[in-house]
Amino acid sequence: MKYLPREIVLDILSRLPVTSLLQFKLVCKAWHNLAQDPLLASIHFQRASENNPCLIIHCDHPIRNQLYSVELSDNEEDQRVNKIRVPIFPEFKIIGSCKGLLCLCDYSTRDSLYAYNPFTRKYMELPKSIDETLYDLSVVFGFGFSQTTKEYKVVKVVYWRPPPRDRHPIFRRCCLQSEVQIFTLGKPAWRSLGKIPYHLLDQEPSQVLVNGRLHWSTWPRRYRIGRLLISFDLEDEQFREVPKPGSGSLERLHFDVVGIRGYLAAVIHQNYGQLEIWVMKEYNVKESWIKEYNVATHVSRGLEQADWKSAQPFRNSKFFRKSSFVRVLGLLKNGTVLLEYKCRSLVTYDQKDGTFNDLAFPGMPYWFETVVHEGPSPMNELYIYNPFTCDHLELPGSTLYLDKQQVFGFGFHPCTKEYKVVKIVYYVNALRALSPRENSTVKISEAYILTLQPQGSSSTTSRSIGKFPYTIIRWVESHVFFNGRLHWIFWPLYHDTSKCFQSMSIDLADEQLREVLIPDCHEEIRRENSWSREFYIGDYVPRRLELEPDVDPSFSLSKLYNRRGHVKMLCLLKSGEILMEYKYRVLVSYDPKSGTFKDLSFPGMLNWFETFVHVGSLNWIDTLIDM
Amino acid sequence: MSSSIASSSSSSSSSSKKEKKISLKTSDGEVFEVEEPVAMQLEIVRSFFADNEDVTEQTVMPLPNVSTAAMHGILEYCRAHEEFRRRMPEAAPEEEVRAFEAGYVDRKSNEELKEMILAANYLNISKLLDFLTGVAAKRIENKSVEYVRAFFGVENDFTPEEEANLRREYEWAFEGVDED
Repeated sequence: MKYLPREIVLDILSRLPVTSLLQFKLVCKAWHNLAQDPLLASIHFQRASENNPCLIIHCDHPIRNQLYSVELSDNEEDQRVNKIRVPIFPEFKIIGSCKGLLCLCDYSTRDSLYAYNPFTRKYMELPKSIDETLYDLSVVFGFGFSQTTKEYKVVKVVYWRPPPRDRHPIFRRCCLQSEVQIFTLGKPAWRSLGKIPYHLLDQEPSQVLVNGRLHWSTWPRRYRIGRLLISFDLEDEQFREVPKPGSGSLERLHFDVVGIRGYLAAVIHQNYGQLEIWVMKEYNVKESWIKEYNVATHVSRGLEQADWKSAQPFRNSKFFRKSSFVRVLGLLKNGTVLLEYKCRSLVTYDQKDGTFNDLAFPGMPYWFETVVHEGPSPMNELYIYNPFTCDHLELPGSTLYLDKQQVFGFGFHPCTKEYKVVKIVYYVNALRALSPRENSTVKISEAYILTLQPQGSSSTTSRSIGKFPYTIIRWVESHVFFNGRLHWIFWPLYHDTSKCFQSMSIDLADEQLREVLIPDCHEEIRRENSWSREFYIGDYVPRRLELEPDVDPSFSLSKLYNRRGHVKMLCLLKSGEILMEYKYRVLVSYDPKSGTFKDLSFPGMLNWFETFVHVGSLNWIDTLIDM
Repeated sequence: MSSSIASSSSSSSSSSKKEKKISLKTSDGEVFEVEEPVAMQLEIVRSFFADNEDVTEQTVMPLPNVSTAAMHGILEYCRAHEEFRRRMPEAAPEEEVRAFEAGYVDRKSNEELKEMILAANYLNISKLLDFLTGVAAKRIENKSVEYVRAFFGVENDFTPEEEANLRREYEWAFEGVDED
């Protein structure tokens, strides 16, 4: 029997659909942990973007709030519909899907919003912000993810009118009021961005996120011809007009906005369900709009044979009322266009030979609404935890990317009496990050510091302390906290010719970076500084490693196994002995006076472990400032 | 000493009288004589010859982590791809490549597949590794947990209660699992 190493197992797993990954958590404990590994999530996410999208199917007839997922694959026989167990929400509509999260809205109040990951089933409720008593209230939503700020944002454009009795007779017509509100996931409250001069057309459940901007078309305007195409930049939070396709008679037509493989596209509906799909090949260039697809009239098998009698109640449903006869969902990997026909059928259209193919999967609901769903976006979550009191605190997480590597440090400064978390982020070449070797060239790096605040006090957010000019060696996994400073070893700087590892520190009180001299075995420097050789520890192989040198296959999947390092020095004991950990398997004490090694074994000791030196305390996290 | 790889390859291209061969020795001691362009698809071989100036044509490169059986499989793949490349240097004939690849792995058992993955990983042939891990993923997709345990040789270390609890939690992911 051959055992595959961790990185290959990760590689294989990253090619599987999310449902298989969830199922394979049951293989063994090591795999259960592997499925939660952010590295797997980030490779998986990257691969998913190369493949066909996953579809989320929302069904509210005859039972409300049903969600299903379908993974479109090349092999049609593999396709099936999975039911997703939905937490108890009020009756919702889907506002949009972006980077693994669905944004749901309470259908009756329009003011309860949820961000929800249908695969992990984790969700969060957003605060409310609308005055429901406003007259003639309508809300247009937007949901997107900004690649530059790495934040999920929800946009709410609220329209209302003053009640008729309050209107001035002269201004009766132009009385539409508006307010734009924005919410960043992870922040406590909505911010108002003021009024908007456009009357946007609601287009749930498809968000059109192209070039970091959300897009809408507008309602027809009163004094000018045609509709506008409006974008909202998630980074600078500005609305802008985008040139729309065509000219002349085309100006007058109604169009839907969709995103197709990263391009902005406009779908022009013609009679009898015929479509023209225009694509803007170069963003914001009017001349680059090209008519790419002509979709002829098609009546899908599902609609032809639909049981309209039993569908009577469905005809009053929210989907049926708002849905146009045919919706463009996107483009598949093989170049076909994916369409949804009147809440009933999924159809692919092949432009090359003009053929339609009705998709049917076992377990497909009868009437539904489809949302194209990108894979989940992995988050790096940080917790502060006291293992004795089990008290813990969740710190703000950050989204993980393949092109982003992070190093963390944690310490407590005795003078300022503050716990601080240091995070150093390296942005590297994404493909290199896949390989386990440490040779990636660092482009940009930045260090952040987060000071722990007692719970309940205002926000715990990290501050940037600027660029971080050192490349820390990550496989020397633990940083050392000493003298109020965190210490790391870094790769020699590019222009440094001595080519030996060096050490640097961050002072947690003044937050300055300083280089620290380390002993140099080759040069004279040794005499000039105060380093001296205190101990010499010879070769030693603990008995347990001698007896069972082989690695148990499930351990080969562990993160520890893949780390380098044979011996880790832990601390000096009171007796003057040195405590060490060998190969994550044996604790050994070394007596420098006699030069003898002793393997420590305790009842209940684990097979594989990583040891940390910890000072136990009853320090409760919510009062930690007072100690 | 005189035949560093750069000079010998340029001389062989100018005079095509005899194709240069590279000798590779597998873990069970068998020596394979491999045509140079094929052997150079093995990144480990390429860097061995690029980094060591003192290797000669007679040098037999030992590959202690590759069995003879795996080597046969790997060379079959590399030779086929070299052939495709030689025939159509611009763009590989996609249909043909796919047909070859499908036939190529269909004959291999799961155990053989894993052995080849390990060998491809060791020899650092990224294209083949990418292809094989894709095949492995296809083989376990929609399969039962038991099948996957057998495939990877992993033992179930959950207690029956733990497993039952987890199964309940992810119940919906278990619909439509294929027969093994």
